[in-house]
Amino acid sequence: MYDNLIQYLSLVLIVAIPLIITAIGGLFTERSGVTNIALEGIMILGAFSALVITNRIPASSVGGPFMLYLVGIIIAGGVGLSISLLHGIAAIKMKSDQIISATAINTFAPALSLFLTMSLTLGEGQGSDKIPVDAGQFVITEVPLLSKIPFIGDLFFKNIYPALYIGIIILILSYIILYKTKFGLRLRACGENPHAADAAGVNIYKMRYAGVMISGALAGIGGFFLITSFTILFDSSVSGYGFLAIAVLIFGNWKPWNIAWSALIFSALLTLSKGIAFFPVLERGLDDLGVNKNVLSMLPYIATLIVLVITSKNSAAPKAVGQSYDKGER
Amino acid sequence: MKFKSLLAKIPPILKKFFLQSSLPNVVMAIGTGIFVGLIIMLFVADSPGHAFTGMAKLLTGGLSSIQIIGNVLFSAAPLILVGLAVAFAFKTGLFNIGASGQFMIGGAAALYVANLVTAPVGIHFILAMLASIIAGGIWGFIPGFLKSKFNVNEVITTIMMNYIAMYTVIMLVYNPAVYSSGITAINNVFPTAAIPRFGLDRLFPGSYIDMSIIIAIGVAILVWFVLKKTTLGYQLTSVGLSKEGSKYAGINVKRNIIVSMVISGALAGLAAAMNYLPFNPDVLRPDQKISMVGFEGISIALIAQSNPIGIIFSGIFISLIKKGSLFMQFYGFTKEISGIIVAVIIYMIAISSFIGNSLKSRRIKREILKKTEIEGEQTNV
Repeated sequence: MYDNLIQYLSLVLIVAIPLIITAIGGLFTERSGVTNIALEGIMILGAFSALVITNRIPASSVGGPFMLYLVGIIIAGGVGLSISLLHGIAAIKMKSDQIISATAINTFAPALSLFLTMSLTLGEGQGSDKIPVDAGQFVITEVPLLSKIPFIGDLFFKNIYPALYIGIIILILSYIILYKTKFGLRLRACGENPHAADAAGVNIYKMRYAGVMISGALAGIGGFFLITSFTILFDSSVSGYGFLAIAVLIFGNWKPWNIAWSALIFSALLTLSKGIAFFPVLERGLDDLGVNKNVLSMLPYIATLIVLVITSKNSAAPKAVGQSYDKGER
Repeated sequence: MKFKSLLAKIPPILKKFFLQSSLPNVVMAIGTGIFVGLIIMLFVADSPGHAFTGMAKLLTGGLSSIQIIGNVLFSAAPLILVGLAVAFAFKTGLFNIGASGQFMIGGAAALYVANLVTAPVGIHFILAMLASIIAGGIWGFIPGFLKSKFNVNEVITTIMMNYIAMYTVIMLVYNPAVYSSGITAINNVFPTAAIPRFGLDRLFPGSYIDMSIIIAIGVAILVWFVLKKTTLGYQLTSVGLSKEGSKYAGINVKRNIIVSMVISGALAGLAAAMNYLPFNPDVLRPDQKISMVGFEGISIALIAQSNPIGIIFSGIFISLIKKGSLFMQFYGFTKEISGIIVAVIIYMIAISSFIGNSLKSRRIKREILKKTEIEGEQTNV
């Protein structure tokens, strides 16, 4: 029973981390006043490029699997950042509809990724539309000393992906940046009242570019983490996790700690239909009651709807989100 | 000078249509999309000639025979209707990203009626169509209600509704009363419920075409009429332009948001009936994947800039290059290039108003400069 519980909880953590990182990315862009539903597409391209590179480089040539993982992160983040610039230029400089340019990226990303996958593998005479993922090499089997702590040791320091620690670091950093620095204050002002921020001497355009670029980098990294944690073949899809991250962002009411909590709750529900297999007693009980497994799979989405309704009264959505900013307008 | 005199000869109505509508923007966007696609193809092609033939096949492959033209029109029908669904919500300022879910649920409803209800030919398919419209409408109602009552962002709720639809459909497919294990999908042989072909199969011999394309075009015209010529349409579009303004004008904003989402969902549901009820239907499988059709609908609506009549053409255009991309594959190009082209077109449309405005402001600046120069000369004299 104890082992099963640990297995389930680690599955929850594995699914939650990419959601948290991508949702934090969404937090930065929305707080600066730009919506970015292109997170889905950016995740795909981040994961794709990082996979292509990490598959080509042997871990030993860069100094071990963890260094290779870092290379993957840098590439995923860099590619995500550049793709998000496409959205940024359209949304900030060209003042176009932010939903439309993001939709363009969401259409572009899977098509480009599939196209490149096929072109790349065709050259090797395979002609496949999937890229193999060698995630096993990145697993940290045991952290010495810390893994001896009961429960916490088993959950956080045994058989885990480095993504877990990096995700926690990103979460803490994002809180510090948003709430404890001048930059964070200005970024938040741009999303709440850009005209007032402008009057106070903040460069709205620069801040919004920063927000969009951070979101792109984090979404790219989130995509890489997602793909390296539970797939063996990447088929140019992140199965809607980019959209789910936006749901987590709203669920978390645009605040870093709430985002982390809601990602964990969401992930616990999301993995419920898979996780129930770890608890034979519960599974048998549900079968006896005649509950369909698909109903379990639906739970996270229904729960999100309910939570959104309950929290709608005190929503902390940035006031100017989605509106392009024109200096001349008053 | 000659060009200007030619321009003067064009009837003013046509001139107004071409120059003041967004048609030039769309043409420019499509041109850019094709250009970018061509550049990508030149990079991967064995020889430049190959790239040009590949592009030609992409654009004209769907026109290569009467039979294929019929098939292009046949697959355009559901696409036009999904495009209309997305556009209808756009007009009220709502982003319906859940057309996929409304489509899937509508498809299941249509197939249930097709399989489980007995009715004479001609009536049966209308019943199945109504079922899909109602199911899609309900799936659109929920996000609309949540938006108007609790102000919950419809982008998120429609995405959630997509997933709920997906798992609901999986359960519905496995119902032994309709499940056909041979095709691992809902049984697709229902002679009395199939969409009538209306003699169109004689016009396009050998193709799958039926009257769905006529229904789609008819609905597009109806949507145009409702939006342009009725009080309801006036209210819906004014809510889309300004919620506050409409409120002060005495329009019931909350009710209109619900109405818009219900109609949008119903249109997506109807699209599914066109997709799953023909003589040669798509089969509804218990896939663990959200149908892509809703996202294609977004592209179609955006290319037509939500103009219902324009959607007839953009729907056929998307259907055409989808078919053409299969022909292009014979020349060693993967069909994903068409997706890249569509993405570029949408991006260009997104930024086209900026480009248009900056061109216009540059022209105005030049005219002002000229004027001041002339005035300057006059004062000198």
